Amino acid sequence: MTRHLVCSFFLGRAPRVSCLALTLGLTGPPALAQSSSAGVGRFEISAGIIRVGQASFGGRDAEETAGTGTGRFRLFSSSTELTAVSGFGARFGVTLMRSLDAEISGTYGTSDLRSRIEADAETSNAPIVVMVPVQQFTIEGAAVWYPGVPRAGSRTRFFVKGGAGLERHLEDRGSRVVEGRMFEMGGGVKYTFASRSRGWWRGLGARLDALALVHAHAVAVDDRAHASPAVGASVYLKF
Amino acid sequence: MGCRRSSELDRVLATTSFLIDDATGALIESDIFFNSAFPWSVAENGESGRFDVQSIALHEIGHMSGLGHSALGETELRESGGRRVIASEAVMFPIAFAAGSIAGRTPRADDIAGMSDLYPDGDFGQLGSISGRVTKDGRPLFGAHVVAFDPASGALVGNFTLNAQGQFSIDGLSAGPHILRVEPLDDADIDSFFESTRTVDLEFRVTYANRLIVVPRRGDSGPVDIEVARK
Repeated sequence: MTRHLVCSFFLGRAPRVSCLALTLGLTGPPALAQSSSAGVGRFEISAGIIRVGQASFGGRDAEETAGTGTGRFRLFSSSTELTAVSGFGARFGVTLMRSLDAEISGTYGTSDLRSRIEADAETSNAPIVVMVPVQQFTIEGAAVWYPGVPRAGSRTRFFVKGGAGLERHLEDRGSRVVEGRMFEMGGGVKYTFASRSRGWWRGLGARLDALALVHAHAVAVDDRAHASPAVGASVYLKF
Repeated sequence: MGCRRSSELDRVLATTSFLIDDATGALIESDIFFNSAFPWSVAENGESGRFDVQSIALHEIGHMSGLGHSALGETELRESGGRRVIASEAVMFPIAFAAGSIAGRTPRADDIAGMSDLYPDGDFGQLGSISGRVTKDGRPLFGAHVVAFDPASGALVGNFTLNAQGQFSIDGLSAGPHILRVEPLDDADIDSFFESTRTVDLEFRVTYANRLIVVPRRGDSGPVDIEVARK
């Protein structure tokens, strides 16, 4: 009670928030300085790992024209997919409004373009799988919206996110470079380990993302858009 | 180009002959003859029981332009002799579609790649190639048929291992990953493709390259080694 009375001498928004943080820090769970997570103009960097699920490009048969001149004859069948991508990424974000951030991020990951071959007309061999390594670089911009004002003292903050970017794939260690577009939509949660209202950093935490990624072009052999699930885990530092 | 009745050529629909200047290599004259011992048709939609002049002419004009035979086709032996085409994906396959078919009027990816290789235009330079070597028991294999399949377009383009080192090169391929398949030349007579003095090994199984082969734009895949297994 006494502490509240001390704080009441201050006027203006920032001191009051600081006062709240101080109060919480002394009377409840570990302190959270709300100003550091909601301050307009503050920026944040993060780094972490990503995992993008596989993208199936469907099947295509190797076909010849049947001897009658009409109809098709299947020489063999193939189906192709881009296997799951494992990699890491970095992100830079800035708070535009109390509940809205803008961020730019880049990732690097590796996977395989894999084809399964089966049903060869001239051999009874078991299906075989052939592949080629693919390196994937992405850069994207996104908007992050925090749908609710966090409760005082809460360490978690949920968000939804949407963005678009470019991806570059290097097939077979750079034998061919292909580029495409990507779009993402999803959400996640931030968990704050520590925060403070003064000092060169204002917050430290972890972040989990769960997204649906839509790839267009790039290594997609059928030249169509494909969706993949993606998850990411990162550590962030807010300034 | 003309017609002549040659009943003794009971399996030859048409042939193309050349007159070449040995000194310069220049093509002086080329003649195409259609064997009128067979029934022919010039009907727009083909005619049952008759061979389509346009389809066979396209094949022969391919020869006149410098193309050899393609092995992109499957056949089976007839009890009465000769072969029946099960399927083909090249106008330059040496055995014609069944009488009445007009499917041979349309050049396929393999024909276009071959013709473009002989007479390249501006776009051809944007395409790439796959080259490599086929071996059996560690030794070079001559006359193996190597086919590149593009899963993006469905195009099939083939060539043979053509030297004592078992090397091949397939040109005119779109950039991107390809599946590479090697098969013995067992769907037509060997002398439809090579001089009869060459020995062509047919005793191996259909084999695929053990990785997807990436064709770069305006470049070559780099050497691809394929070891085939005995039958």
